[in-house]
Amino acid sequence: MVNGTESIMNQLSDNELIKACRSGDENALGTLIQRHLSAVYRFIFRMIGDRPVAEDLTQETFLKIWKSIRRFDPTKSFRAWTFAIAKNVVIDYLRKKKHLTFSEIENDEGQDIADTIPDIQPLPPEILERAELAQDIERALLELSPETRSIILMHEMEDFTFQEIAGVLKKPMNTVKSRYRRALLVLRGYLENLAPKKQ
Amino acid sequence: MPTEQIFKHLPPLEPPPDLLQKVLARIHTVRMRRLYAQLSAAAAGTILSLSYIAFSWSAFASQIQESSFLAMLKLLWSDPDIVFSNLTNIVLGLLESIPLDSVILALIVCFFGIAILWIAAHETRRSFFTQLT
Repeated sequence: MVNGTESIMNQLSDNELIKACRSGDENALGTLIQRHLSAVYRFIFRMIGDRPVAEDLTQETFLKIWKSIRRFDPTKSFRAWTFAIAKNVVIDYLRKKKHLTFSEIENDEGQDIADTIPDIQPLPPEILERAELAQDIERALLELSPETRSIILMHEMEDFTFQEIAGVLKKPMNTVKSRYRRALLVLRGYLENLAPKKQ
Repeated sequence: MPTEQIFKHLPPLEPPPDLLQKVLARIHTVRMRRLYAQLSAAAAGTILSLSYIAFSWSAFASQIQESSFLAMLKLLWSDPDIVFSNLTNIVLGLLESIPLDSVILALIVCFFGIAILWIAAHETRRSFFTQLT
C-alpha cells in the first residue's frame, strides 16, 4: 500500500471502509482487516490456547467477514459483528474437535439470577504472588465453557460492554451478567485450588 | 485485588507479523476460485446459447421455406401492382406466415446469452482489475 493512501484509509471510519470495500477497493479491505486483526487473533487464541489453530481460525473469520460484508448492517457495530463471527468460528471448531468442557451449569436463559450469586471476594495475595499466575489464568480460562469464556474475554480483554456482548451472543443482558459473575467465581475457585497443590 | 483485575496479569499478545498477508492471500484465492467458476459457467452458458441459436436458425429457415412468406415476398418483385392493390391482405398474410414462436425463442436465447456475457465481463473486471489499481 502506498503511504499516502494508507494514511487516508486509516482516517476513515469502519462504515466508510466497508462502503469502499463493497465497491471493490482492495486498500480499504486491507485497512479494515488490519484494524481488527490483533483483537480478533487475541480473542481466538485465548479461546482455544493453540497458536497455529488460532492463526487458521483468524483467517477463516476474516474470510467469512469478506464473504458476508454486503449483508452487514451499517447501523450496527462492525467490531461486535466481527466478534460474533469469530465466536461462531471458534465454537464450530471446538464442536468438531469435541473439545467442549463445561465447568458450570448454563441453564439461565433469560432468568436473572445475579442476585443469587454471592459477592465475589478479592483474591488472596499468595495467589497473586505466584510466578506462574499468567499460565494459571490462561489454564483457568480454558476450563470455562466456550460461551462463558467468550464473555470474560470480550469484557476484560477487549472492553466490550455487557450490552455489546449480549448483542454478539444474542442473549439477554442479564444472562450475560450472571454468567460473567458466575465465571469469576469459578475462576477464583480454580486459582485458589491450584495454589495449595503446588506449594 | 478483585478477581476481575487478575486479567491484567495476562501478557500482551500480538498476531504473527505475516498473518495479515495470509488473510489477504486466502481471500484472494477464494476470489479467484469464484471468478474461474463464474467464467466457466458463463462460457458454458454462452456455448449453449450459441448452439441453440444455430439450431433455432436452421429450424427458422426450414419453417420459412415451408411457409408462404418467401412466396409472398417474391410477389413484390414479380407483380408489385398486385401487391399494392391487395396490400392489407398481403401484409396480414406475411405476418401470419412468420414462424413467430421460433423468432421469439431465438430472441430470448440471444438476450440471455448477451446478459451472461455482460455479467461475466462485469465480474471479471470487478474481481481482477481492482487488484491492479
